Amino acid sequence: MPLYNHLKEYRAKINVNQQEMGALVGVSRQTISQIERGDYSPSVTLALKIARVFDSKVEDIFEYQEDQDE
Amino acid sequence: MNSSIQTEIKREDKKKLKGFILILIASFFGGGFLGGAIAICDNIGIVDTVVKPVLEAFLRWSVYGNFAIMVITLVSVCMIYMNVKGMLKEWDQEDDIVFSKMNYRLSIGLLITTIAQILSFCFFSAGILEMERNADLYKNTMIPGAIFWIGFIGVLIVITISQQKIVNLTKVICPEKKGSIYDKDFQKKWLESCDEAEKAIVYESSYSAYKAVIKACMTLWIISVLGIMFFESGIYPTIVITVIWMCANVTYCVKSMRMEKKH
Repeated sequence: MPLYNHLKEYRAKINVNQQEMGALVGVSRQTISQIERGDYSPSVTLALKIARVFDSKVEDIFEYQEDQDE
Repeated sequence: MNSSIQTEIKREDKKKLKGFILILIASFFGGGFLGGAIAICDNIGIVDTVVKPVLEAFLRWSVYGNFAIMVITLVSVCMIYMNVKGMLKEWDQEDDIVFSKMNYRLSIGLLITTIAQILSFCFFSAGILEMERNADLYKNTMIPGAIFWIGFIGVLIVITISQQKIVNLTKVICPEKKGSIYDKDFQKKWLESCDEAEKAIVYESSYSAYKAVIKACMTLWIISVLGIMFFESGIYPTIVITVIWMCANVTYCVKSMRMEKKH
C-alpha cells in the first residue's frame, strides 16, 4: 500500500535527527528511517503521535495515493 | 446474500479441487516410487555399502564434532564482532546504510551461534551413542573422551558469551532495547522493548518458522517411515516427530483462538 510522507522535511524544519524523532514518538531510529523510505506504514496511533510532534494534521505528513493499476 | 457467499465459496473450492487431487495422485505415485527405489537400493546393497558407512563415519567423528564447532564459532563470531565494533566507532549516528550493515552482521553472528547450539546438542547425543557402543575402544584411551567433554562444555561457553556480546553490542547501537541474556525472561523483555515495526518483523518471521516446521515434520515423518521399513530405526523417531508436529499446531491454534476471543 503506497503511503507517501513528508516526514523528513518536517523533521528538518524542527532540526531533529532520526534518533531524536524516534525517542519523541516511542519508536526506534530504524523505524523512523523505514517510514521515511516508505518501507513501513505506521499504525494510526504512531501516525497521530508523529503529527502531534509537528503540531500538524496526519494528512499533511502522510499521503495515500492509489496504485496506477487500481 | 448468504447464498451468493456460499456460491462463491463452492466455486473457489471447485476451481482448486482438480489441482489438489492431482497433487494427491502425484504424491501417491511419488511415495510409491520413492519406497520402491529405496527397496531396490536395499536389495542391491546400496543401503549397506553407502548409507550405513556414512552414518557410521558420522558417529565416529561426532566425538570431535563439538570441539570443531567451538573453534569455528569462536573464530567467526570474533571476526564479526570486531568488524561491527570497528564500524560503530566510525559511525556518525546518522548513516542508515552503516546502521543496517551493523545490524545485519550482528544478526548473522546470532544465526551462527544458534546453528552451533543446535549442532552441539546433535553431536553430544551422537558422541554419547558412539562412546557407549564402543565402550571398550574408548576405555583404552582418554583423549577422545576428553576432547568430547571439553568440546561440549567449551562450545556452550563460547555460544553463551558470543550471544551476550552480540546482544550487548546491539543494545549499544539501539539503546531502546532492553533485556539481559542471562535473564530467564530475556525474550519477553526484548520483545516488549521492540516497537511496532520490529514486532511486525518478529511476528512475520515466527509465522514463516511455523510453516517451515510443519513442512519439515511432514518430510521427517516420511523419512521415519522409510527408516522403520529399511533401517530398523524403530518407532521413537516417529513419536518425537509427532510430538513436535502436535506441539507446533496446537500452540498455534490455541493462541489464535485466545487472541480472537480477546478481540
